[in-house]
This record gives sequence, structure tokens and C-alpha cells, in this order.
Amino acid sequence: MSHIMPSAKQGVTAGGPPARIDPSPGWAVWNGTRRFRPVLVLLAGLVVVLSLLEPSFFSPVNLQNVATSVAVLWMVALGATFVQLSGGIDLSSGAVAALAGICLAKLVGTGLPGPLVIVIVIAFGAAVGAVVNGIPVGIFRLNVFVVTLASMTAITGVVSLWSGTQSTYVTSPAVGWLAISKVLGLPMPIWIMAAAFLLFLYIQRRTYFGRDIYAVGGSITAARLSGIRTSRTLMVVWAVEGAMAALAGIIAVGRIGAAAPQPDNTLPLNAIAAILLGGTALAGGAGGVGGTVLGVLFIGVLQNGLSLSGIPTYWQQIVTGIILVAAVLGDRMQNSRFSTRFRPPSRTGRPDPASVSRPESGSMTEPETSDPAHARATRRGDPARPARPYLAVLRANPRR
Amino acid sequence: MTGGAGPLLELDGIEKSYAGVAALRGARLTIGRPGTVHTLTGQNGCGKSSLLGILSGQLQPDRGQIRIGGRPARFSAASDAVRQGIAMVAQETAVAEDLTVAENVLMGRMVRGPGGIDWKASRARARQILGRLGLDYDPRWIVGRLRPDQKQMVEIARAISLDAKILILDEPTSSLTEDEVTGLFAVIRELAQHGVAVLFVSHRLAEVFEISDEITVMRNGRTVGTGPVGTFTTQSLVDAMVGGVDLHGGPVAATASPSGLDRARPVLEVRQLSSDGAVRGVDLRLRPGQLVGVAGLAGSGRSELLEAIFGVRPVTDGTVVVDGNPLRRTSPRICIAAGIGYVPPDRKLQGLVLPMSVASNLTMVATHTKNRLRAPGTRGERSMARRLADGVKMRAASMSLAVRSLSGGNQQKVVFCKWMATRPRILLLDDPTRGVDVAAKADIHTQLRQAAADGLALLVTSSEIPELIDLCDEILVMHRGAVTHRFAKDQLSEAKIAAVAAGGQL
Repeated sequence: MSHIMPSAKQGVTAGGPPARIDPSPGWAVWNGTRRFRPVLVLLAGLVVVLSLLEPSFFSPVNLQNVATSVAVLWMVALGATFVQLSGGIDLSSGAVAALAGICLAKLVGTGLPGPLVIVIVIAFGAAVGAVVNGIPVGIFRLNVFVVTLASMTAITGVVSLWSGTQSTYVTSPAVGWLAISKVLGLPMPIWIMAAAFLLFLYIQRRTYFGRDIYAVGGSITAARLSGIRTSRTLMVVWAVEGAMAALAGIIAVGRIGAAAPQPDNTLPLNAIAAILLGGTALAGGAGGVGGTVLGVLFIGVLQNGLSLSGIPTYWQQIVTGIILVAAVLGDRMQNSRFSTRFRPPSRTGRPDPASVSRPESGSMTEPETSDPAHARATRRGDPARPARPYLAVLRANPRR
Repeated sequence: MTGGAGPLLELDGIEKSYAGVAALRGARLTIGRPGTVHTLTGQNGCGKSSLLGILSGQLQPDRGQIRIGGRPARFSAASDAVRQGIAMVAQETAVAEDLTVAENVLMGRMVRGPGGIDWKASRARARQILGRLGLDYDPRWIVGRLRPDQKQMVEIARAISLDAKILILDEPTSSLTEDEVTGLFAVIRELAQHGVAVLFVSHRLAEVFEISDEITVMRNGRTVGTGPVGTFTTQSLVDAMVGGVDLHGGPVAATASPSGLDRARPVLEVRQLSSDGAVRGVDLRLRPGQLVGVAGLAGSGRSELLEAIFGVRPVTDGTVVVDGNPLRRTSPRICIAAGIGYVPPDRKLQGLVLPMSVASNLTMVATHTKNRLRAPGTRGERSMARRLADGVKMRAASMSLAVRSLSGGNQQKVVFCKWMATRPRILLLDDPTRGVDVAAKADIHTQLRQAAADGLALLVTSSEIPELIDLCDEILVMHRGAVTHRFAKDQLSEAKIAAVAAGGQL
């Protein structure tokens, strides 16, 4: 086979994308930031502007405020990044966080030791995530949007039921230590945020599990045919997201001193916004937590800057919305530039016709495919379709 | 029709780069008269897709001219091209699955009556357009239930209803069976008769010679040959496509002698395997070093047989025996553990994870049993990936590129290599050369023969019978889910196989 391939000279890039390859490690690091470069620039620009306009921005107290104000969003967004990398989307994290808060309040009320309670609540969150979202999405391959919409709705009801629509005061030293104490001069949540981020970064980049998440999000069929346990991967991803939502719920309770009877259902939406700002593909398979934390920080700094400048905070929502559209648009243009072949935007990457069994010639009365199992197997493998990411949400059964 | 002002369509000196990498470097294409069938051919990555994109207004050229009837034209969007009478039917059908044939054909241009859409008139209009293609489709059919070739016809009808003077068909035959191709060609000739110029894209040589009036060959972004079909021979066309490289030059390692094969114990045995009516009671034996082909029309169960063996589709009856040990149940993981590999028919959806790197894809199967909390990318794994990449002739630097950016032939080699990395003893390949160019195809054939010579047992399907005859020691023919005939090496004949695949008797 040695001399048969005449295109070997141009190698694999014939007809492909730009292949400016420089094997130095510096290049690899720089190239790795490609997906979140826009938010990096935005965040840096915002910091520069704020430091010029508002001298108080750079005071240590204010910087700590910015960090702690996004602690809850940070936790949820880390877990939700894995969800989104695996091809999912989570609307239920706010409800799970509130449920964990109530659970925390009730357990503290029983007099169990605080640290134990915290561990139990995090485990409870993982179980809720695995059972309520993980089983329907990972095993039954139901549409993730519908599943998490349903779990958000149902858990919101459970929260009201269990809390009796009353705030429950929580006075636990352990919870307070987690949420408001200072360690080595910095608020505890900042340490937790840093630790959680490093852990997620490690899992994402340095474990086979992390690679499985990308594979499942990129093409679940290809992953399964390669022997990867796709259901298990998805179950674990959802358990992790549940645990992170519970941790976020604990921090929220600790900061207020009470468990709220109403979930903050804008939390999952802000998390999705931060993830998308951070360059993770809505369809999954590309991106990561590095961009997500920048997205979270951007939202936090913007909020902080506006309140320092005395501008009403609803501007933060308006600006975030506009930038989000710009970010997704940028992602789309970048992806279309990098895809080997242009595709008219109407392509939706349906299963390859020839691989779906066909009815015998001319028989118009047969259903389109005689074996749902195969059709499903083929459809599951729809590749990430960065060109029209919003379809992943709107399509009846996007990638399962 | 163009009033003798100039050729119907002329593209000259077209150049196009993507971020500094030239895809087109002076491509030419001339279609002289209406009613011509002009074939554009060339290997994957030669720039065909970019040229079509420019011609249909989806891409803007960096340099060069488009002239229609001698007058310069500029397309800044697909709708400009349509207005100038150029319509394209893309390789993958783009139809609204849930709508009727009439709605798809007249998309957005339904006949209006006093009370909104006049359905009766719309249907009549759609029927008339389909009639021009010699098709008797009921406009009320739901398109989602049509066969792929019928959907393609609906798209062609839509293009015709736009009064296209030039119809571009981008690899329309890539997913059709031979009968369907015959039907498509009849329609193309019908269109040509009515004065529509057809730009047909294909790299199947037999088709090119069968349908074309004129041929244009591209290589590395340039037009390297063009002329009436009579000026080409198979050899000269292949030479033009690959740049004068002799395709049949490589000495092929001899396969194990047939007598040795007979004595070897079968490594894979399939007994009475059935799957939901798609596969019905199939028996087969595969010995080490044997290359067995499965022929059959699309829908005959050849793909489904491989899927059932590999555990992708439920097995309703029968057993798969590897090395004398029956598998209690089949799933991809169990099969991989037993030494079976599976190259699925659709590399983009099933074979590869497109956004991931070449290295990750190459090592995906080989590392699937590793502890999930351990770190990938160890030195051993990197050297494995490099060794595999050597087999695919990929530079080390390309390993971190997304596999999406490779050409089709190279992608298929990545799929093949990721399975070879697991050192399987049985490899199931479903149409491994679909949609790859001539050179990559020859390369894959060589790899398959080499693998067989090394003692691997291979089960291969293909929609092209000559390919199977060329490759295989034995061919099974499937029809309606069952194996109806078996041909040993010395009995292989294309005519016989085609006849029984279509359900005939010998």
C-alpha cells in the first residue's frame, strides 16, 4: 500500500481545513484556548474598563465579593458543562439545588452532625440526578430537554410540598463554615470553587471518563460501537451534575441562613449561558470547563461592575443575552469554516439513507423502516451539528 | 437557447482558499450546450465540492469568472444561482419528511386559490412536473416513507419546477442500488432531452462512461482534463484523477492457500441467526485468513447480518460462536472482547467521533477496557497512535487535528486502523469503500488482503459486486434476510451474483 496513495504528499489535509501545525507545546496550549478566546477577550476588556472607571473594582473586598457571588452558579455550571459535553442540557439544576437545601434543613433539624449532613445531602443530590435525569436520559434515551423540563417542574413541586412553602432556618456551624467562613484570608467558597474547578479540569482532560464524555457527546453511536459504556457514562454525568447542584444548594443555604421554599429556576439558564459563552458546543462533544468558568466570571464581573456604577442590574441580563447570541454566532461561523465541506444550512444530518433498511421497491404502504431498533441506533449517532446548535434543543429527539 | 452568445456555462480560473489553504487553484468548467450531460469527477479532496459550492452560490470564489451564456455572473447567495437557472441536488437529500410529495416539489410555490392554497391545482401541477421526469408518483404520498432514490427524484422534480437550465447532481448515486441508478439515469436522459444541462458528479467509472456526454476531471484544485466522453478511456480517466500513478502496481501478498483454509478451524461460526425478520436463519463459517463477501441489494439484510453478529441489533434466534465458544448474548463490548471488530457503513455517524482528534479516535477501541479514572495519552498510547497513523500515512502533527477535517478516504482508514489496533481475529466490514476515491479504495483493498494474509478472518459487504469478486474467497448472496446462494472462488461471476441477489434462480 506504500506507493498507491498519490495524495500522501499533501497528507490528510487535502481539501480539509487550515492545517497550520506547529508541534511546540506553546502552540498546543494556545490552540486549546481557541473555543473560549472570545470570552477571554471580553472578560479581560471588561476588567480593564472597570478598573479604569471604578477604582473600587480592584479592591480585595470587591474581588472577593465577585467570586463569592458567583459561587452557586459556578458549581452548577461545572456539573452542567459535563452534561452539555455529553450532548445533554440541564434545566433542573435550580430545582435540585433547592431540594438539597430543604433536605439539608430537615437533616440539620434532626440533630445529625453537620459534616455528615453535608455528605449525605451531596450524595442525595447525586442520587436525584442519577435517578430523575440519568435513568430516563442514559438508559431509556428519552429527550433530554423534555426529561429535565419535567424534573424541574416536578421537583419544584416537591420543594414546595416538603418545605410547606415556608423558609426553614438553618443554624449549623458546618454549613456556615462551608459558606461564609474565611480560610487563609479568603472566603471558603473561593477555595471550594478552585478545588472543584481543578477536579473537573482533571477529570475532563486526564481521565478516560473525561474522554468518554466527549465521545458520547460527539457521536453516541460511534462511542457505543467502540465498546464505550454509553449508558453508564451518562448516568455518572448526571449523578455528578446532581451532586454539584446539591453542593450549590448547600452554599446558598449557608449564605442566607435558611432554605428557600422556592427554587431559583433562572440558575440553570444562567449556567447554560455561561457554558455557551465559554465555547462549549450546545450539541456536545467540544468545549470544556475552562471556558465555563470564564463565562461564569464574565457574568459575575458584569453584574458587579454595573452595580458599582449604579446602573440597574437588568442591564446585565440584556448585555448577557446579546453577547450570548454573538457567542453562538461566532461558534457557528468558526465551525463552518473548520468543517471539511460546506453544507447548506438546511442539512440536518439525518441517518444515512442507505444504512436504514428500506421497504421493498414500490411498496408505499410499509412504514418507513421496518425495524425501529436499527433506525434508532442510526439516529442516535447524529454527529454534533455545530452549524445549527439550536436544533439540538428543538428537535424532537435530538441525539439519543 | 443562449442565442449563441457563448457557452451555456463557463467557469474560468476559479481560485478559493480557506484560511490560507488553497482548495481551488485555477479550476475550469465549461458546459457548452443545453441538453448535455457533463460529468465532474476527481478524487475526494480534489476541490469538486468547493467548485459546486461556488457554482450554486453557496461559496464566493477568491478569483475567477463565472459566465452564463457569455455574460459574467455573480452569485452572492444560493438564490442568485437559482434565479440564473442553476439548481443543485446535494448528496444528502434535503426533503421535508413529514410533508407530501406535492408540498416538497412545489415547496413555497403552491398554487394559490381564493381560499388560500388550492390543493387540487397544486397536486395537478406536481403530477405534471413529475410526469416530465417520467415518474408516476402520487403527489399525496408522504415523502418520509419514500425510498432514498425516490426522495432524490422528488428533489430533482423540485429543481425542475424552478425552471432550472442547469441541474447539478452531487454524487447522486452514492447511496443507490444498481436498479435505482438505472432509474436515475433514465430520468437524467429524459431531462437532457428536454434541454436541461446536467452536471453529474461521480467517481464511479462505469457510471461516468455510461451517462456522460462530456467529462471534466479535477485534481488538487485544478482542472486537469476535459473533453467529450469519447476522448477518454478508463485508464486515461484514472490517470488524470490520480496523477499518473499506476493503481494496480502494488504486489499483493498472497492469501493463504485454499487447502490450508479448509483445514483451519472456523474462528467465527454463525448458526441460524435471526433478527426481527431482517435477518432470517443465516448460517456461516469464517476461517482465519478467509475473506468472505456478502452480496445483496440494499435491504436484503447484508448490513443487518453484520449488525446482528456484532450485537448492534437484537438477535431473536440463533447463536454466534467464536472459537467454538457460543456467546451467551451479543453486544459491542462482548464482541470486542471476543475478538470481533466492526467497521460500520457510515463512518461519519457510526465509525468516528468527528469533533475528536485523530489520536483519540484511533485509540478509542483499544482503550475501552481501561480503568475510566486513569489517564489517557500515556506514552504507550501515544506511540500506539503514532504507529497506527503510520499505517494511515498521516504525519504525527495531524494527530491532534479533529478527525472531521480529514478527507473521506482518510477518515475510512482511521476507522479501519482503530479496529486493527485491537488486534481482532474477526473483522466485519459493512461497505468499507463507500464514497471513497479510487486511490483510497485500492489502498483499503490492499490493507484487507494484507490483514487476511496475516490470519484475520474478514466478512465484507459491498454494494458493488465486482469489488467483492475482486476481494473475496467466497461470496454469500442474501435476499430478503436469508442467504440464498453461496459461491466459491472459482464460481464467482458478476452476472450470476447479480441475478440471485435480485431474487432470481440459477
